[in-house]
Amino acid sequence: MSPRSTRREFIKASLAAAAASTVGLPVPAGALPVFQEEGWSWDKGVCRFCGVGCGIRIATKDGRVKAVQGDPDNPVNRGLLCVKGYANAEILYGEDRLTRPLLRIKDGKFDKQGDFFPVSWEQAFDEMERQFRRVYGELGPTGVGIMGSGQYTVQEGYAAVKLLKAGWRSNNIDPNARHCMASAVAAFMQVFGIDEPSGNYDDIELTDTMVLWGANMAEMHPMLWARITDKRLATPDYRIINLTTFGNRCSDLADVEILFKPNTDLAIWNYIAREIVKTGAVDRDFVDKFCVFATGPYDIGFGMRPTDDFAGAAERDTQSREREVVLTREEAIAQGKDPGASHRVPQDNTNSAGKHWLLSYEQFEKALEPYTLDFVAELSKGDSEEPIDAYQEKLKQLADVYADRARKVVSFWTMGFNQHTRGTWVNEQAYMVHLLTGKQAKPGSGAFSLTGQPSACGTAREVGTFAHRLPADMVVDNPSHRERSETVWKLPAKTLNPKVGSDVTKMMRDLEDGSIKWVWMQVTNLFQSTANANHWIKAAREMDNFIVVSDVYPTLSGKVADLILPSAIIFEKWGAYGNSERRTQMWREQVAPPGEARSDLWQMMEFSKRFRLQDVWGRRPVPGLREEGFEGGFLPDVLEQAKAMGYSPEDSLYAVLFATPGNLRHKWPDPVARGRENHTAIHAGIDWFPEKALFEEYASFGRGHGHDLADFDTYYRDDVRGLRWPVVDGKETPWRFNEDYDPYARRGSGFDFYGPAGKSLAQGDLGGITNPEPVSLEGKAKIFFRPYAAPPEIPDSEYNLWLSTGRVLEHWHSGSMTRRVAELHAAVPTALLYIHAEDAKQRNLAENDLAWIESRRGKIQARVTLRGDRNRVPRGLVFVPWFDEGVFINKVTLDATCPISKQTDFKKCAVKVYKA
Amino acid sequence: MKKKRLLLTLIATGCVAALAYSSMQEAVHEEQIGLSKTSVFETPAPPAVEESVSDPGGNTRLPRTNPLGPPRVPHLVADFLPISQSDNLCLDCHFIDEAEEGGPVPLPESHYVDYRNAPDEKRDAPVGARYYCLSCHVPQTDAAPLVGNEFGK
Amino acid sequence: MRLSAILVVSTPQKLPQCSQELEALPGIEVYYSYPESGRIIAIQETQSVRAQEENLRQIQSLPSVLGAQLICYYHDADLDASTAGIERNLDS
Repeated sequence: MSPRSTRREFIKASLAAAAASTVGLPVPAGALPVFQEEGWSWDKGVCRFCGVGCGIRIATKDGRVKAVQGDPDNPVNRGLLCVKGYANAEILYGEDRLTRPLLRIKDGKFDKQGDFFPVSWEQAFDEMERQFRRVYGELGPTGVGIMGSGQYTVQEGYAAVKLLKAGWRSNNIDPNARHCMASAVAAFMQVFGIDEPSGNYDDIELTDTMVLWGANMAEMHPMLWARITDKRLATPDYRIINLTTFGNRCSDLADVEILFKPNTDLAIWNYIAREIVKTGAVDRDFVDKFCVFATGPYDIGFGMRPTDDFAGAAERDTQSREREVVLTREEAIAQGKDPGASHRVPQDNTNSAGKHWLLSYEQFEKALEPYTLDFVAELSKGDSEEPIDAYQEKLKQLADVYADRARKVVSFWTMGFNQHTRGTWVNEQAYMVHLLTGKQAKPGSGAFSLTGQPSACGTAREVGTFAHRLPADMVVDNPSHRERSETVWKLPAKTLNPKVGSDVTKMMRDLEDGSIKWVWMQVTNLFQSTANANHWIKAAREMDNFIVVSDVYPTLSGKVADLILPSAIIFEKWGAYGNSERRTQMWREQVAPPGEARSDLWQMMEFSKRFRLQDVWGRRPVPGLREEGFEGGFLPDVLEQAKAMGYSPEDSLYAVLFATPGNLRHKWPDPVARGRENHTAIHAGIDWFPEKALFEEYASFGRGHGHDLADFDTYYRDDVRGLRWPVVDGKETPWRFNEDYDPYARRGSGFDFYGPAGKSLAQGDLGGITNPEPVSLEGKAKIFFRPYAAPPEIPDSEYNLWLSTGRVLEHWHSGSMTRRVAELHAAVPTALLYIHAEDAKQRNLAENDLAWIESRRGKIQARVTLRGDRNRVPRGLVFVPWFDEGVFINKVTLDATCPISKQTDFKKCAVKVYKA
Repeated sequence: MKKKRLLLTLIATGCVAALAYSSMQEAVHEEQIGLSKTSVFETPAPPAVEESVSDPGGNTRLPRTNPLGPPRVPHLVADFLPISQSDNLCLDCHFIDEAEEGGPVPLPESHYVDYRNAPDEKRDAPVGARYYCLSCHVPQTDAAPLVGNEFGK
Repeated sequence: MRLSAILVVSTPQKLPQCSQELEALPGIEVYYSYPESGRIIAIQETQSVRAQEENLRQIQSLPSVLGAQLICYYHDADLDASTAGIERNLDS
């Protein structure tokens, strides 16, 4: 029987079984299709790459993945996949898969300057433990950290948070997702009091207007773009407007392309809001019932270091803007100040950037006053060759689609907004316009933040693998949240550390200033993806610290590491991902990991066996800790309390955190596996099911709190293709905050923005707080006024071009998987420098020439492309994708962040380009 | 005294023996691993690669690694872009019923079925969700793989 | 190609005859039969929607059949490859 006819037989048998169960007839025993040796066995899964979360079908045979295809039953992608999606099988089989731990050794012992030698897991963990104990003894919990990922499975992220926060009592865990969507999170929390979008992907088909703001979906979310394209081609009145700083593939299909200057999106939103207010397009009823107005300080800096002690000579001028800013003329106008005067503004609110207060509608209206069409068009026009009249006309069209009551509007954004030194602000401005017009939380209307990683939402955000987070939107600096977590985790009171840890950019800075000396990087490649990389690479390679990198391939971060641990990849373990539309999807282990590669969960559980409670739950210093009950800046000794709870100081963290009596009840093997294996359990030699146990434990945090997940087994049902939380009484929630769809919205409310965070605010005006008496905002969303602000680094006579970084369709993230797939590599073998033909000519550069790209921080080489078949950059701006470790553009980028979200702005800094 | 020194030596030897794995195995220098065989401190010059410049027609079909994956484009595409609402030069050639020797490859039947809205109907024209060909079908350069891949082997 | 799962309702007495009649039709395969309730789950393979409907009517008109109903179907253009050869159809 050929595999193809076997597949046909398999489908027939599955269909017969499905039909029988549909009409309530039993499926005779043994009749369920079981593949013969020569046949392929199919199972459902989810794509390893972007945040869209396409469903795939995976075929395995003889312990190997044989093929993948789009899952026609999955509503996300209905059987289609992009070119990367089809590579889900090949990414398992790159010839340089890591199959043994590699430790730097010289003269028979660990040495940072040594070469990599294969060692056993025992030897690897021995050195890792030795180094951990040394650093933990010297610096305490803040000296160690985990750099995590939006590619963690839900269970891995949960295990990492628990090990670090409950076990080691540190809060230094932060994911690469900080670079990816922290601004979206901060805005969700500030506007709605709860994280994640109100709408879902169905809005694509339900809307009639699609506005993209810094989201090149044609390349980065191709299967959502397929849905948009399908709808556009079939619907004459459907409109696509693409706002971007350079022409891209979305522009090819868009009805209107608006090319704006970097950072001026802030001004464009305010222009739209002003138009809405002036033309009476405000949905008064919606705003009065469900919204309040708010604003915050403007002098919040740029998330750079407060000191220039570590800055190179060339970096100092940009660095100085962290302390004081001289407003540009446009900024002065935009902030209602005299444009003729000079305004030196000390940045006094760098540490309180997120504070905000209530504003009256009149004050809000007044703040919008400067954002006239003339002012904003002049400020924001991004293509010097475009006539201003034509540009103004487009801005008017843009404002009209939002203002038009008859139109539904979806605004999508991704990195263009989130990677922005005012990322939280610009996210909030999108909600500003959608809330003003009542176009939020309704089918076909809403502002919607897309994500870039497969579980940035499901793990990083929902589990809370952030320095400030606990599961289910809770935070470490809230005593009642700590208490609740300590209860669920069965920890003594005051085990958890109340001081927010280091975000991922700060962790890199901490390596450089020696305040963190032990780092475990998991499921990510942060030495390639963090801006201003020269600093961090040098710190990691040359200073006294110990860097562990767990990955499936030797990445750039692996090369920087002291110890590389070989990990299992997606289909070699059990897992769950959560996509951008709150859809949680799970898969079964399909094949065994190669050699000695182990799942990240196994790695954490095994390593936790090396710590006894008495090693970590004694009195521990936390520099800067000031919190009631934590006198003298110490975490208290909780061992006595632990004893009273029945723990022994000799108990291992493994026993207390992972192999708990509750978790041991989830037995392995489990019928849900249908005969498939679990190598986490096999390698650990256990008879319980850690992925199921940890999922259920994690889910208990969110159930009843607006984050309800279904039970583990439900996600494995044949008729389930993921579910959008909250899942209440077995029903998913398509639109949140909307009474018609969301069981959490109060009956009779219509809309209920019930998120609990920040729901009590002082009152003030555009100058600040005038009445500190807090007002309760239950059920309301906040409409923020945020002004235009210039970025910290603007092209000047020397560094005379904007640099924007980003991605290409064919590669994902740092390319560690896709560049090992022959077809994808041959399609885009290297990252190119996209430059305007005139800018190239001035620099004597032709197609394919080698050019240097240099900033105040570093320089690299790339090949020039002038062809406009992918990106069409305007004069004055260059674009370089970051997937290619051989074109290491993050040596050039600036590590300025949004001061509220701490997310880096990878989209703008100043560079010069010259022939190599 | 002498005895004591001997003991110390033995301990030292023991330590070395415990780490003897290192000398038993071949060391890997960091520049020998990863996709760029350079130090992380270097800024290498990326190689020049040639994109396929052959015109459509008469090209050999490229082999597929994933048997269910989309075929690659064996010819130049830059001249046929962009794909816009009004123009799709890919379809101008490939939207045909029958293949002819050396001629364009017709779209498969799947491209005429709208899996989202009407999965049981074959349409007369390709569905909109498949309109942006470049999402799946990518042109090629002459770049050799950076590392081998054992999928399908 | 289109695979349809059809619930065929007969009687316990007529079930063997029903099976025979069904198997005699082109592209029909009996998957499960339930002697106690006189029901059958059959899979039908056709190339078009029209053929699918036509065949269903044919089944409904069989002497031993009280009724027949389409329960679910599977459509997969790629499956055509298995008959026509992978290179021709998938590459196309």
